[in-house]
Amino acid sequence: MRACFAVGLVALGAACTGTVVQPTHRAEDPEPPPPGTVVDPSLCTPVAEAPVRRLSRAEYRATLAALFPDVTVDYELVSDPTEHGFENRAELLNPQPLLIEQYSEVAAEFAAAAIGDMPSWMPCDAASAGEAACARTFLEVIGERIFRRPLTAEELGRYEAFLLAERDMADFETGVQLTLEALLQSPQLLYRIEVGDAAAEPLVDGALRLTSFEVASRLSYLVWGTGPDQALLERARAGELETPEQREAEVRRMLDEPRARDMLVEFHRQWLDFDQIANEPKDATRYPSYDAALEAAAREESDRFVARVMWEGEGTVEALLTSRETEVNDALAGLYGVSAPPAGEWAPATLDGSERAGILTRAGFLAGRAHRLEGSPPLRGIFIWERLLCRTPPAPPADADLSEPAASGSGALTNRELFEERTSPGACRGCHARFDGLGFAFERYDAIGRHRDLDNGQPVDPTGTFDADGARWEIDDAVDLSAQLAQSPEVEACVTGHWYAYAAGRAGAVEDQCRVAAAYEAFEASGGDVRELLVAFATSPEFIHRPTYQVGR
Amino acid sequence: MTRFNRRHFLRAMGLATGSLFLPSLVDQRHAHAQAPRRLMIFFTEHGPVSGRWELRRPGLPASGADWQMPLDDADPMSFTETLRPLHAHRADLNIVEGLSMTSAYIEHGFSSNNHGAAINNRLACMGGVRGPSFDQLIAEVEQPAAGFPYLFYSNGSCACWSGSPVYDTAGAQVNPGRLGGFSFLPNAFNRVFGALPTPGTPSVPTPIERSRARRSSVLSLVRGEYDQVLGQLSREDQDKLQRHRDMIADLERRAGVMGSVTCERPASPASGLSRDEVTRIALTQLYPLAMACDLTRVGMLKASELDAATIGAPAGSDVHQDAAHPSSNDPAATWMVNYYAHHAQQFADLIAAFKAIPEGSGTMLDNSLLIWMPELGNGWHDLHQMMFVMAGGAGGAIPTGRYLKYDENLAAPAGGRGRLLGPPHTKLLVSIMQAFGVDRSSLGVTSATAEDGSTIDLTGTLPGFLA
Repeated sequence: MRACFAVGLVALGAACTGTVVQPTHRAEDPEPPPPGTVVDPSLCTPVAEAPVRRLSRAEYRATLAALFPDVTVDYELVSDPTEHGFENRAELLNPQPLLIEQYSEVAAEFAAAAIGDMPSWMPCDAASAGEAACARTFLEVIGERIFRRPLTAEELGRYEAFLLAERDMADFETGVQLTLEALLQSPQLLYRIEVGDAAAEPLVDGALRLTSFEVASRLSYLVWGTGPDQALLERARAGELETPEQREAEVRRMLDEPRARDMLVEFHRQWLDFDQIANEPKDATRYPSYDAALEAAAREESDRFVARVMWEGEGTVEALLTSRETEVNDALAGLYGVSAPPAGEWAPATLDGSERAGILTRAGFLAGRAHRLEGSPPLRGIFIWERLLCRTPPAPPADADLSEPAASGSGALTNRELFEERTSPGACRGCHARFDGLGFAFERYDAIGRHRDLDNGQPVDPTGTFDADGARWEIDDAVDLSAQLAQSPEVEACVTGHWYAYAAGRAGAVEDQCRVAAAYEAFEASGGDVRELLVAFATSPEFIHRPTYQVGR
Repeated sequence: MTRFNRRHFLRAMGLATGSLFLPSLVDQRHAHAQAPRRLMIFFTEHGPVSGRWELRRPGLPASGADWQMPLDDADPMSFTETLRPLHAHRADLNIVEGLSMTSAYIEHGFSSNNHGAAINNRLACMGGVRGPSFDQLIAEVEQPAAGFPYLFYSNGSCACWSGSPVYDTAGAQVNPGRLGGFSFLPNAFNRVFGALPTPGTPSVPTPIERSRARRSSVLSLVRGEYDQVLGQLSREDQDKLQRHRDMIADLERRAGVMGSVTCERPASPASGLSRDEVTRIALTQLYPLAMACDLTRVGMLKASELDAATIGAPAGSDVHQDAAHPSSNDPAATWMVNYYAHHAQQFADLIAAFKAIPEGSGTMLDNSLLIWMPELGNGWHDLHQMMFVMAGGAGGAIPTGRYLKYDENLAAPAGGRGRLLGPPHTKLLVSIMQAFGVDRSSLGVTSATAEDGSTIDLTGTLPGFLA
């Protein structure tokens, strides 16, 4: 089902009322229903759709890096299409000629680089074991890591024949190199193919049980965004991913690994659009301190902040939106008014709680939603509207003047006053009244994220109102707004939906509402701890199943 | 096809002898065969300044009639400042004035922002994902045996205006190759020429050279593995992986015939060049060499926005907001004249590079069509009175040395408020497709009702353009 929309969901149990959850929706979708909407659980399907997923660009990079951590190849791939910022939607990750060509070239470069250091990773020595035996061992060990499961006898036979034929034309090393090049382009590496185990008894009616290695892959891409490590493969081999308890133990082990940090950073990069800052240059005269180094520092702080609060720290949405903790380098320390570490170093810092609270009050977000001269209240407000509240962003009318008012403004008007003047016509107010209250909360920050009390010599007015959670929020400023967002069920529901879609590789649809509801309940019960949300995903019975479908033509 | 004059070629490229290319693109078996035809598009941002690029000559009406004039005036001042860098190539040019991106007006109206409308319609004449752009249809019929059906690079690094105007035959937007961002040249040279033999004494092959020598064998194995999994998948997934398999098969086929390409590998340009220098080298080396070696026949370079210093605007100016948008008046108009004159020089360099490569009894330009295609009609987003500058005759299909003026006398689509438009630019693209042997008489949107109730016909060729 292509269309997806906000679904009211049932808090688990018999009562058909509960918090509204939006498993993300598309621009053309209607507004989500208000909180408390009654939904029909009979619309839920037993297990989620599970289309074959091509690795996203980030997953592909992480997968290759994990396979050959000592091999360095500089490469770039065409960008993946996105939906709501997310780059891992299965239905959008289709092959295209340039990408397939790049896969081929990257595989060749990787294999060529790896072969130069073969003794460090080759599981056997051809000189002592014999070339044929070593070829077999190579395929069994390295092939398994690449395929994320043992190769079948037929697969072993095909790759072994190829390797030995190429050896006969050149030498053993060349045979291994070219075979590795082929393995790195295989469908088993580039796609997450779940054939299932038809012989296994399903725990969900009408569904097909996954093989234990397929479950291992689901776990590794869920928690790490990359392929399984050897320990996870061994659990799969031993059949130790069958019960919820076994999977929970494995997820908790995996969450302690730095790869989980990398995945958490990657999710937030996509969700909160960390890279946008590169697209919003600043006026050099107005902001002489905002050079490439400061922009890069602001961008990097986003990653470091997420790693700090979501992996090392509390791991909650509340912390993400309210934490004063961060890491700074010397360039960023000046912007935040904290002590600078030595040049070239990063150090932990605690920011002034009256000025900063969480990710929305950091330079990365503020400069990324700002024009050359001033911050953009509409861009900042709509961002929260769409990404944190899962509401459909209204499109500006075709003839809307999208240039920044400060560029042509005169007199002593503040940025807020200029925007209010620009959007004062009735045709504008209908939409702007709905989200400007969010955006104006950030008027205490300029276009590069510096805190200010005065704008153009006038006192800043960061107050506003906003309707959410069935009530009217009175907003004092961005710190206050962040605190309210951190406590909002609507935000928590939205975040659940984003995580569900990220984990599933597809935006949730009406038939997913029961699964999203279960995830939301676990999320809420944990105080919004994202790590517990991942555990909830992994321990659900649906996690080890996929729908049955007719194969072939 | 005759043997290249090596010194002549290198001199034309502005390169020291031996620094770049051994022009051994020779295959005497094909000496008398018809040379391949090439299409090269230079796509630039914003638009020229209306009223300051058009050419005029006494006695020719400013409006009320279509007319053509030969570009035969030897005085460089007969060209406007915008186009003057192209004067030396006037005998090879076709400059077309007066066309309208009518399909975009039909689809998006007259009050839209128009950047998006232009992206959809500039090459495809329809919005979004419903059909191919004209260059892709030409790439279907003009395919080299080896190399790349289509070579597309962009030196933009900003995602804010990076939409691709290219749509494949399935209607999907085609991404440019941008390895390395705007400094894509080293990667591009490696990609395009990497499989060619290196000049000099043969040495022990490196691992990557071994890989290239056996590329088709590796791809054959990979293709077979995709075949193996297809039967295990749902129909939707099967379609996806089958497309993947077919793309591998295409790579395999092209890799298998790389040995028949007789060019040698040129040296790769340095990294760390300025964006403008990247554009120049792409236009004067990457594309001409790739096409001379028949490694591609259809290509596009999408140039990024020029910076303020290049166009004479004050430091720190936002070229988009401060120069392009207000360019109906000075000083922005003068900055945008500079902007487009700068691109005119780059296009002139591209022409010179093609003319420097002998082919048959003439040069490679004779068998090519080079098109300079601005995004918009002007900096303030009009999509009419568009400028098309072309060079080369596409193998004799298109006469050259002409200025073609089309009158704006056609009723506009709904929302035009009585304005009159010139012929749809679709007709020019159809003409070009026919010049390349594409059997089509339409592209994208074919008709609409004008605001006066008449029918707007977007099919057929542009009168007087083809030979």
